[in-house]
Amino acid sequence: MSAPDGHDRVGEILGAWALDACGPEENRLVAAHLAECGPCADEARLLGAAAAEFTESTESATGSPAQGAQAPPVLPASPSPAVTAGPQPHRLPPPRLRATVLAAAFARRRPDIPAAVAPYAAQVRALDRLLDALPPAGWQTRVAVRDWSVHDMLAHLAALDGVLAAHLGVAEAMLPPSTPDTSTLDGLAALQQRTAEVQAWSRGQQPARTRAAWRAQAAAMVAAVAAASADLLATRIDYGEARWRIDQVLLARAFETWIHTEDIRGALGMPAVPPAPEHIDQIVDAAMPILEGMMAASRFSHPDRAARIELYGVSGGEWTVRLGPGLPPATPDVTLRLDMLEFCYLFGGRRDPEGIRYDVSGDRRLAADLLTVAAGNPHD
Amino acid sequence: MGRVYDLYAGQVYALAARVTRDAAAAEDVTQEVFVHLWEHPTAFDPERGPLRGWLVMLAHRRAVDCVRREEARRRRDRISADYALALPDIADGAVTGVLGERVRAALSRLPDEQRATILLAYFEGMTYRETARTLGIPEGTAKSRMRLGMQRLAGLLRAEGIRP
Repeated sequence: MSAPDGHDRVGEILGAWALDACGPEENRLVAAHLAECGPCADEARLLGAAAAEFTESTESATGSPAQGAQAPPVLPASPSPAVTAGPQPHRLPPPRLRATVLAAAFARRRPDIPAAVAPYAAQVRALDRLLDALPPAGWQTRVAVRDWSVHDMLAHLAALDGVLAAHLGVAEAMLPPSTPDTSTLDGLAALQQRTAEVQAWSRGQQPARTRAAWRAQAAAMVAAVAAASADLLATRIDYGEARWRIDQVLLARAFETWIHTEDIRGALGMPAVPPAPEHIDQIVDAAMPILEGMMAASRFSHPDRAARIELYGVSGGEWTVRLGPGLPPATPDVTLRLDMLEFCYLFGGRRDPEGIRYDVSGDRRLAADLLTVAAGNPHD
Repeated sequence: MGRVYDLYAGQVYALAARVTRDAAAAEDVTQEVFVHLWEHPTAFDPERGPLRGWLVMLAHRRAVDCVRREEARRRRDRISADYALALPDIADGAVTGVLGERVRAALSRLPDEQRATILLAYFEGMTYRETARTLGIPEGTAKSRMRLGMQRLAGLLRAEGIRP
């Protein structure tokens, strides 16, 4: 994504970047460029350090304690229009906050889970907790997907996790061995076949055994990623209809685990519980290239066109998505604004493109095609 | 951990309170910052600057995220011109309560138009696009004012013997 002229583009936004005044896409552009450009990295450090001085520095301001509440000397008023109205909270942290913060910190284990696998690990934990609360009869509850039971759904997740597990060197010890005749199948059919195999096996098992197999495999995958090199995570593997990097597939697994956990919650009449905002960010980052690939391969492909997708809500950001092969235009042909969770549910096949609320500026037809393709993500 | 909190919680909280204008959000940001430090002890790289600067940077980013989440919900109902009423000023008690004295002095030596973009971005949590809209200037102008202003500020602070 970073163009050869990235240096100039990054240079001109470095001031804004140091003030946290860029969008997420620009932040990524800057981060990528700083890793390879010494002069820009030096300037970024300098400007960032200056911004960090905006709060009172106990180290340089003599005798002024961090919580000094004395009135500051009045400066000559600047001619720029004053003055901020609106409620101002107290500037001192309430004393009780100290105990709250320390307790929250000590409650967390210092993790050894790398960021690449954190969303997946978190979704596995969330589903596992949900299954803890499931009464024995609950396993046969039908979910709104292909008339599967909760038990079938878990087998489906274990099956597709297993496709990735194999590439991480994790043996699917507790699950039925895969019949590896995938050479004649396209990627999607291979995934469906694996789901069918594991579901057939699981129906002859106690749900607790399926759950144990799923959980053991997930834990082994997380451990394998923690021990893996960056090279391994960047390796491309066949997954579904295309080849993706392992770290992208890990996020696809996190996404699918999340969506199916919501399916199960829905079947049990429980409200949705979205992932942490930073995990949704990672998931959406991984989803956008997949969406580009889907657009390029679809009959709604629009060569040389691009869309900007602005998401807001639990978290947010802006992404530019090419709508087909060829060169994307300098400015997107259309901008869509929609709720980030709604976008995720759409991409997970849990919303109709016609029913989704969004704002659009630019070419409406492109926006409608993009949402149609996004909702068509082949997804059980 | 308790010691780090005692040293820096005041600054982290004050900044978060200024940017979010919401005591509960400021508490959340403060908690996130210190829990993040606890959970990611290796993310702080002493080679690249003091702990204080790192915590402040983290607090600012979280506070800005918080403001933008709020903003995203409200933006459609709100005309951006409203921002024009809320231009911060370095004489504003809320800003000066956060700014260190020497930094305030350095800021007051910047050209007004550079200072305005910096204060809007940093203390109102605006993006450069929002800053440009608020001030009625092109985005490119906002970007370049921010960069020139920050470069100049860094130079002034260095002349004052402050780290950058």
